[in-house]
Amino acid sequence: MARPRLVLCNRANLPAEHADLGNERQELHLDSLNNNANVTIRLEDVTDFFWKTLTPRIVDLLEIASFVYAADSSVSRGTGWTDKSSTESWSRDFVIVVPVRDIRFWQTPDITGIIEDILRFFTNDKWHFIFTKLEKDRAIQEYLGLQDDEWPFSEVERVVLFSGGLDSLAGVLDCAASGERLVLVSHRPVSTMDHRQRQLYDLLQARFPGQLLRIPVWVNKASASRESTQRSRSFLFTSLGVAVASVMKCKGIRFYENGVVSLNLPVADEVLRARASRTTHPVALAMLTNLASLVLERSVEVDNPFLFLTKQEVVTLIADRGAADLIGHSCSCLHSFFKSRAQHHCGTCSQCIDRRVAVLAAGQEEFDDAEDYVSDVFTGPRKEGYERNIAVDYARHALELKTMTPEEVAHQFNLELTRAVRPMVNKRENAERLIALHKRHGEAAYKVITGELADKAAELLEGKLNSTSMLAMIGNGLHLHSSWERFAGRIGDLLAAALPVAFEKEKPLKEVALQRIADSILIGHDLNLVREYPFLRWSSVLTKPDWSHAELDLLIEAKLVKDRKDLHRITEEIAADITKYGDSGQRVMFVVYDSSHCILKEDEFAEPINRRDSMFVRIIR
Amino acid sequence: MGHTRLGRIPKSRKWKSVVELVLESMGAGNLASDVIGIADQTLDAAEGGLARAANDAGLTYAVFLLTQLSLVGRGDLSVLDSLGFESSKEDSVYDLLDQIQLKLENHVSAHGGSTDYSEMAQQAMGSALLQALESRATSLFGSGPDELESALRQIGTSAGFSRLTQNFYGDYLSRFLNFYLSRITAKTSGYLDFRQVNVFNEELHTYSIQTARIISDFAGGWLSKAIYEKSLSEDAVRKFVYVANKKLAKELVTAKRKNDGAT
Repeated sequence: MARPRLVLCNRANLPAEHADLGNERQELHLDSLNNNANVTIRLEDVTDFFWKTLTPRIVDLLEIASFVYAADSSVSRGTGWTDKSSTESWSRDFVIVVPVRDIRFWQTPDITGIIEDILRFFTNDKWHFIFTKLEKDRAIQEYLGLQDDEWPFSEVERVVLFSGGLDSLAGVLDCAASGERLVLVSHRPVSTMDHRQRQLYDLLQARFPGQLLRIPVWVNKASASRESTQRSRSFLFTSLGVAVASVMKCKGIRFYENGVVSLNLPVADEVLRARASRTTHPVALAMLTNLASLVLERSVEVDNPFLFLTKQEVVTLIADRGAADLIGHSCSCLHSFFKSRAQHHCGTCSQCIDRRVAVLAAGQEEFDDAEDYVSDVFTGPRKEGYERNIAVDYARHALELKTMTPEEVAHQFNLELTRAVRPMVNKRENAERLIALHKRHGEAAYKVITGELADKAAELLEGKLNSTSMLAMIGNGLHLHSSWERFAGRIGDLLAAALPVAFEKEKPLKEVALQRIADSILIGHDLNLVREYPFLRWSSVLTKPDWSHAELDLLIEAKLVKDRKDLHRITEEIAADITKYGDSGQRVMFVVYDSSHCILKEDEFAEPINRRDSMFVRIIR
Repeated sequence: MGHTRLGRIPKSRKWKSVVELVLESMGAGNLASDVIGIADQTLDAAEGGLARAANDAGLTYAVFLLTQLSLVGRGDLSVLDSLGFESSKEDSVYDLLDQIQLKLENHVSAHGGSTDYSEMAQQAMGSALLQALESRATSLFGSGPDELESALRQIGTSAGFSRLTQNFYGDYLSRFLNFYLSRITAKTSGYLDFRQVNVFNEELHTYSIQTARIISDFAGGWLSKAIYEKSLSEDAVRKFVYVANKKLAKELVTAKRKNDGAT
């Protein structure tokens, strides 16, 4: 586990009354005021008017958020185990001493509690704040890059947190098209990102002259970051928004992020708590709304209007606004350090996959140059670990969402869904909307991935695709699909050879006797079949086949025909099985043991079953 | 023919075979010693985790809430008031799920915040509850208070509570083992094959539900006795969880011995 930290900001000391909190903590010194400062906070392109209006409390908020961000980036999350190898050391423990100007406000227990709750939700770390009185302030101008122009913006409706990605681009287009004036706040940790954001902003400004103002903000820590998760960045981003909203009397602060990313449902069981980031999670936004309103002493909403949109729908919105040509100027990649300015997407991270899939799903690929990706999302090589896992997990999660019924989605993600709609009114309806949203995402991603697989089928079969590419990794499982009929044929042959011998002297009287003998034959051939498994839900009942083969998605049902009057019952059972199993997307093999030759017209009996792609019947005598 | 009811739990592979499935799929080596080594490491970590989780506020309170719903199923509607649950004519399974999740979340918040153990318990509680209620209620969102009441009745019996507890602990153990196994296999090369993940998850779930049978064997009787003796309390549940986790850990030790015997 990472050693607990005592974060001392702007040369603060741990007050004597809290001395016990410093025991066995490693000190981390952060400074934004003095010589050799290691945390930089700088708002650019703002006027004299701006800084004069910035209250001491807001400056405090900016500093608190910057110190949190710097501490979060500086301390690695552990990868080892503690407590006799039973606890993963993901969470960290910070005591942070921050000198502030408005000491009375920040020392209010409610305020401290809210900040600690917000950070615990974002980061899963323990945060304990101690606020002390700031003794020596600096000239406020140092926070700002001033310009002399008269500033035409005041009482703007919203501050938009502008990352330069597809979602915030769509948000700006959507608002600006209705004539709204917007202030875009951008956090720019590196210059390449700033260059891209500036280009996109210039293009937007040309479309909406006089309606937009961009305030880029630099927040940096001098030494390189050790921890890349940086779960506290939303707190920083919102604080920047609050600062701008305070000066410009904005009614709210707006994130634009599609609902799938906002909820960030875990792609696997083991992705617990904030291991899946909660940057714009509805609970987080509700908490930030509360904090922003308390800081500004008026109602300020922090919201996300795209919560019920998929990424594909976001891209479609951009196209519908006649701005598809701007897609190529946006940047979605998680990685900001590119050697070349010519390419801005790594093609391997989750955001790049999601972007490319959304663009293709929306039919806008002509505006998203493939050359902008260092590695092709679908066919490019992927490194061991994260790059390969994220590709497989993304595809599997999309397939899972597509194939699950809405009830199954609710069941699987019950905690995440109830948590997400908690701050909302009409929780039930909104939970259903979120399920529908994820189903749409699953459908769209599935369509794109299967389309890419179809396009590259020849290369895949000929082994020309890089074996570590997304398509090759997914496609590896697909050859199993084509072999199911061969496998079913083999089972049919085995039973056709063995059952008549087993029942030579005594015919089975009940179906269960047929199943028992068939089971012993199949076990002997090590076919990897599982008996009476899995349970499948159809309507309000659960059903299970006689055998199943998981890798092939194959279910096997054995039917016994003793005399002609059994035929009616068996055809009805088969019809019911076709419906139940077919609705679950399963392949089914029916083995009909008809030792008395009751089925007179085999073809007529088999045709309604065999005409289905995933159904097969074998009659054995 | 297949059965259209919940019958006995199907036989599954042994723990060693579940691990084997992962390693084979990852192409990460399937030597007997690799498999047994990873299977044992996972069981060791899970055994230690279960001992720690026995003191976790989230796990204990999740089980306490399940006992309270069982009381409601037995007709004691005053429990809903004491839990602070609001009821309306529109109530559905979803509304109950929402309220019980909120109750647990608030409890966890007030007791030091969420942990990996409490998060898994919260997920398992929702999952077990839905499994129990959805089989009776018409649908998660569409059912009304009558269907909900009828669904709750089935967890109000001793047998119903046993099933509920087995599903809860089965789901919990499945998440627990998956959590540890994923960390341990992450150190090996390879990735879990696209389609094998679902196979593995099903196998793991079956293994866990089977292992949790040990809890179901005594859960129903324990609750009935506690109700009869009027001794049901959070403290009594804490003791139950301690025993239950110990029993599960013992099952894991047994599984480990079987692995070691296989070398």
